[in-house]
Amino acid sequence: MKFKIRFARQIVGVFVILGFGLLLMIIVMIGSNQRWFARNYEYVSEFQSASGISQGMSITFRGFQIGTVTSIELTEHNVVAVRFNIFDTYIDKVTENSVMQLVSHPLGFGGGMVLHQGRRRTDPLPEGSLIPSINSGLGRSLVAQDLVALPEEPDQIEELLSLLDPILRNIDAVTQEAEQLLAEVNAVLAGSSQGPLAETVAAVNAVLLELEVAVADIGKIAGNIEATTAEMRDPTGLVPRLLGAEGSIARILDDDEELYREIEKILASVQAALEDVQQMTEYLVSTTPQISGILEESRQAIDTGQEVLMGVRNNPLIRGGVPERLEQPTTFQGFRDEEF
Amino acid sequence: MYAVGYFFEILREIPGFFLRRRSGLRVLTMQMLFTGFEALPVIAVIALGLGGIIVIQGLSLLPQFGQGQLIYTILVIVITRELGPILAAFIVFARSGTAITTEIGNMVINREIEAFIATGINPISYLVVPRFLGVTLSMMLLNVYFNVFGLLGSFFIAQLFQPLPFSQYAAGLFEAISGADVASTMLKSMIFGALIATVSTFYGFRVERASTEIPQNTIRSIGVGFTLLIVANGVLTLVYYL
Repeated sequence: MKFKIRFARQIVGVFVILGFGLLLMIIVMIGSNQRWFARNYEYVSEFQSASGISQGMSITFRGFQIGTVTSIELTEHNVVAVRFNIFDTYIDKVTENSVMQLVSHPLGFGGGMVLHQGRRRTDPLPEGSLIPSINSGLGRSLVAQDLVALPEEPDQIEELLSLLDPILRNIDAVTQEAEQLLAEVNAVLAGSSQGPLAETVAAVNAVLLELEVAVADIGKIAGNIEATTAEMRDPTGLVPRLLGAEGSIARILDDDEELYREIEKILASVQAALEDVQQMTEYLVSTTPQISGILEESRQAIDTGQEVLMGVRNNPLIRGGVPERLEQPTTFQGFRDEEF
Repeated sequence: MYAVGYFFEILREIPGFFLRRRSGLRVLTMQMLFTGFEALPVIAVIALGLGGIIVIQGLSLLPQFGQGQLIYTILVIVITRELGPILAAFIVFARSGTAITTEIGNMVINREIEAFIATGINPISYLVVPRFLGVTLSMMLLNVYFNVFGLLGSFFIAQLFQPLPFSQYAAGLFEAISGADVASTMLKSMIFGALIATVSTFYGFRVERASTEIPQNTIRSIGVGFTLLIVANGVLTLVYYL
């Protein structure tokens, strides 16, 4: 029996248990990541306007997210009631005299709802309590009595400078990268680097070396030309020997018409040959009609032969009577025809 | 209407299976072995490939627009919510649905069904219900495995091309996936499993006399089954977004 069939129950058991285990693990991971199993405490706050407030907006305390806005509703007294949750891990931050503040960044970099803790260290407020907004009458009164631990107002210029800081850091990073790039280019030009640019520079160097060799060759050629020129200037050199009164060229030009006579003889021979060719051509022209007649008769004979062959082929008595010639391959083969 | 009645007849017989579970347990086990366990390698390869492609393409494209975080949402939408259940269903139908139709069709031709009825055994109770439960349960489990391989396995494939810390990947993934996504995918796989089992057994019983009817009914079951799966997927997706 096959292993799978024999242990089918065990295999299916492992398959099922592992599958459900994985499903459970995924659910637990999602739940723990999204705080399904954590206790949240609900509170309410009141604002004059819902502008800038949205469901799911985070509640922060000293920059940490400590809760989320769960619902926003307009009450019958035209006050916006904002319900929000505070995570159980931060419930001790919600003390007496705490206030809520809706903040929006002056430069439009987002905002949120911030909890400002009361100065007195008390037990957490009971769930469902009202935490006044900082702009409400109660909130202003608490702030005026210095019962709220408000953080120091950040200087706007300081804030702008803090925004500039990352930009400057980016510029610094770019400058450093540019420096690295320059160092790399220097290394490439110095021949101590690798890469496409370094290969190009090396190739250019090789070309320059070849050019240097070529320039050296040109120098040698120029030297030879110079030497030739010097020889030409030399009264005992090659040129005077050729062009001088006793030189070869002078002798050719002044050879008592010997060269002229030779040329005249050659021309006479050429003229005789041309006359022979002309005579031959005239003979061919005179015999052309006869050749044409022979060719025409040959063509007519071929046509007649074709008709005779056609007649013989169409003759029912002897049609098919001529056996087809079978090509008999030769049994002789040279050594070259053999395959090794 | 006859098919709807057949489906409700299966549902009616399901409680009886748990009361007389000894008789059909073997059939259920074997069905889960063939439908679930044996389809696992195919499911794993497809899920790994799909997840890997999404991660590689997403990580190369999305950060260019400053939307690198969207990769997790895309993974969840494609693998968990949409393609995972439907691809697993197609594979199960192609492998097991056709096999069930052929097997039951052959039983009809060999008059085994008549023998069951003659001996007082309800063929739906003994043959269909274990297959229905086996295919449905296998479908749900295969969908879980598809998601595991697609979502987590793709991470390892992505490491070959673009290294990413697992903690960052897991945090982003579990932030993007919600309970509704898990519920949606499990509901889809359960309904798809029920559809596959019902359609394939229904067309198996539609064979009457000749063995030549078996391939005809198998082809019909594939056509009808795939259409129903796509329609059901559309309806369930619509319900999710309502």
